[in-house]
Amino acid sequence: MNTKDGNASVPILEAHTTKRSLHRGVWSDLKRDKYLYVLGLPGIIYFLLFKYIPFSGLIIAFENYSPYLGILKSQWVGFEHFQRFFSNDDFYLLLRNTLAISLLNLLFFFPFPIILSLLLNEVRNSVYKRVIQSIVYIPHFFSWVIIAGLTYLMLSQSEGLVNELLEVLGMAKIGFLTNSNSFWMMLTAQSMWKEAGWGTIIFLAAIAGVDPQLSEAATVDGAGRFRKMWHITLPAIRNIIMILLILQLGSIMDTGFEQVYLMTNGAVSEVSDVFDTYVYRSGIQQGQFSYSTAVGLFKSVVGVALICMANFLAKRFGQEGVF
Amino acid sequence: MKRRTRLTHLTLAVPLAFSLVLTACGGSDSASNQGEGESKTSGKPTEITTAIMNYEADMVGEDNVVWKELEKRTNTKLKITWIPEASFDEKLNVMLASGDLPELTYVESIDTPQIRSLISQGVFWDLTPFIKDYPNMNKLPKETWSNSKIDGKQYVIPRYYPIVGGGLFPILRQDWLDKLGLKTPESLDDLYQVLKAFTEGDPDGNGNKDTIGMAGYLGSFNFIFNVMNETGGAWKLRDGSIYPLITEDKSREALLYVKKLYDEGLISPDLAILKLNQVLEAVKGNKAGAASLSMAYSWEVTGELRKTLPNAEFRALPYLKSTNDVKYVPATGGFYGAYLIPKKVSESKVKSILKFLDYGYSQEVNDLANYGIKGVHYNEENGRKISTEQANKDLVKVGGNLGSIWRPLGFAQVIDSVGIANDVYEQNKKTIDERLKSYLKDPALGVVSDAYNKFWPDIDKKVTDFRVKVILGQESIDAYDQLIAKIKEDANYKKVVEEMNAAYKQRVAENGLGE
Repeated sequence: MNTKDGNASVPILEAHTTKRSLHRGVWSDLKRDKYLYVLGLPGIIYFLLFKYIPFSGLIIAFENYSPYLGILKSQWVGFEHFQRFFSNDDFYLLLRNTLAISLLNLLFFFPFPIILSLLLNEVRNSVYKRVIQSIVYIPHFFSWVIIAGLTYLMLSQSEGLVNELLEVLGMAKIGFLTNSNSFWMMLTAQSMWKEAGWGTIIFLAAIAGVDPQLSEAATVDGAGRFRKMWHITLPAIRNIIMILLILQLGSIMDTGFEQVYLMTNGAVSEVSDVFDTYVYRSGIQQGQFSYSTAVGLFKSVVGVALICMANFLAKRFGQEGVF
Repeated sequence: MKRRTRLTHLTLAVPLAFSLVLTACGGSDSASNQGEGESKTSGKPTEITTAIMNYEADMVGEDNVVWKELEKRTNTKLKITWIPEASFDEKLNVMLASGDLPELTYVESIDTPQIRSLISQGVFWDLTPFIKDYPNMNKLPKETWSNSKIDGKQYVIPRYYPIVGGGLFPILRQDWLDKLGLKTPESLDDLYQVLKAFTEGDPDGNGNKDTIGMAGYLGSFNFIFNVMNETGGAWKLRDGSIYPLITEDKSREALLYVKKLYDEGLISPDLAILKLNQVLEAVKGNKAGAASLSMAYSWEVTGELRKTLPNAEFRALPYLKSTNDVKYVPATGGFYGAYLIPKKVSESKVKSILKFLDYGYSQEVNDLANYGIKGVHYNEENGRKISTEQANKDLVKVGGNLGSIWRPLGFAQVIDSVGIANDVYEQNKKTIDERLKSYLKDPALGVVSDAYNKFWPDIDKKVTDFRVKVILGQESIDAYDQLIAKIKEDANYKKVVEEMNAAYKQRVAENGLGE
């Protein structure tokens, strides 16, 4: 694709010959690596078919889409849906909630697997280590429905285990699930419980790649465990941490639909409504296809901008970026 | 989103992945114009593709014996995709968005923006000229037809539902009332006293204060808003104009009433997060003395309780009175759900589809769909249909499975159930008679507008969510007053009310549905 685009800048006179030599070059490349390309073909087709072609549907964000007029004949309204969205009071609410949930995740959830894998790395008894690892992986395989169900079982006011305990201890019951002050923290805690173990896999692999001679040398120099963690292990996996952080920043606008949708209720909707639930409600439930596409498009554009920014900053500070 | 409350309710609504593959039709348009009801049809069966909402967990398939019998009697080949209630809105919206509509399109509400705009774009057949040819359909009640007209035309075939018996309204433990020496409540004050006694008077006699008056989620208490405002639906008719209930002064009183119930522990402490299933568990588990449910639940719950408590009985309230002695009980427009036929279907096929629908409104085919085959799935005793064990095995359900296509005629679906005890059945009949005298109409039935579709869901949600906070004590009633005052000044709110009133007046002029 890129090579073809390159032709545009080539002067017309030379175009013919250049094209031919380029053509030949591409062809021989293709011929040489044909098995690799064949291997990659399903992936390329997948991305074209399911990721790039559907892009064209984004046009409906700029029109009043009606299924029976189709994408081409629906009325063109330009930025009307965006105007409606930005002038809506809910916009700030959605933005605030989305950012708050993501930032809390970044602050608490993101470092957690790193700490966990550092601790696991220090465990000497390998049987014990494996058992712990398996146990912390398991929640990753539960669906959000199950996690939400468990949370309700533990925290609900009429029959939640925690509240029953409080009652036995003579304390007042607490409406955890309907408390808007603690809702964000509850989401973060859920995410940590579910995904922290899974997150350690990458970090443990990175730690395993650290040259053991370094830490042996440090031991000889009299460094203790914490010193080795801080001065050897952490710097060695810094690149991995940066890359994951950049990826995480790119998804700052995605708070995960299922979790929020399952945990929300009338009492906390003010702090729980995020872009994803809003798009679902106005698009799928109320059938405002164009409007919800506009909202979704806005969200994606901000996501792309953020990931580019984070990547730029990472390179600026001398780290390796993602691209 | 939807102005009228759902007639029955759902469990934790988890959108399940559910394939929407609608089999394309190999249309065999043999227009069968044979005699009505029982058919001695010849020729090839008509193939009909449709997707219908089904409340049952065990959904019936085309190898079912009743299904086969239905196809035989109506000379059709039915390709039905059942859609679970919990995900119906999403499934329908996806179908509408893709433009891939089944030949017989079922919708739960005809007042949604998508349906209205598609109708105005001419996507569906205007069935007005055809209907007179179908005798069974013409026997449906007048209001069923008039309430389902859109712009004065019959674009839809309404799915019949009795005018009263549905909707969320209290059912109460009669045996608890008797034990505590209380009368059936007639006003909200009475109801408060009853719920208080149910909570504090140890009605289950185990010596512990472990019962609550009423189990419910937020929507369960909507009837209080209707009783106080003396109207059905979500709009109040005053001096020839309609006003949204949420901003009415009486709704503030209703909110404080619910708050009082909550503060005194007479209703579920976690009403903000409860779902229908937990409410049913509470009443079936002898923990709550009341719930707000459609009448059909009175047997479902009573039957379950009677397994251990032979005297238990849940009885549906006939009505509740406002302080001005105006009675209220929820009502429908005489139908629940409706069918439309897209224009891509040929005229001759339209006629055969209508013929099929018409069969279902004949007593025989209606009975077949809802009760199964006589002598196999039910027997007639004293004019009543008593279901056999086989009915459960073959997934025969009144108003469910094949009964989802046409719910039963008359009042059977709200007073009768499989295995219902005689006393409960007789009581239900009495309650229906009483309810028929007490229901209030929804003035905004069938009234829609653009601004309503666009802005109302958000405004409504804002107020509903705020109500929860007031009930839980997280916000004060003063803050609520400020919110309502602010909403009344909101430009979008004003636009909705203005457009809705214009649409209301137009509808009154067309249908002559005055006060």
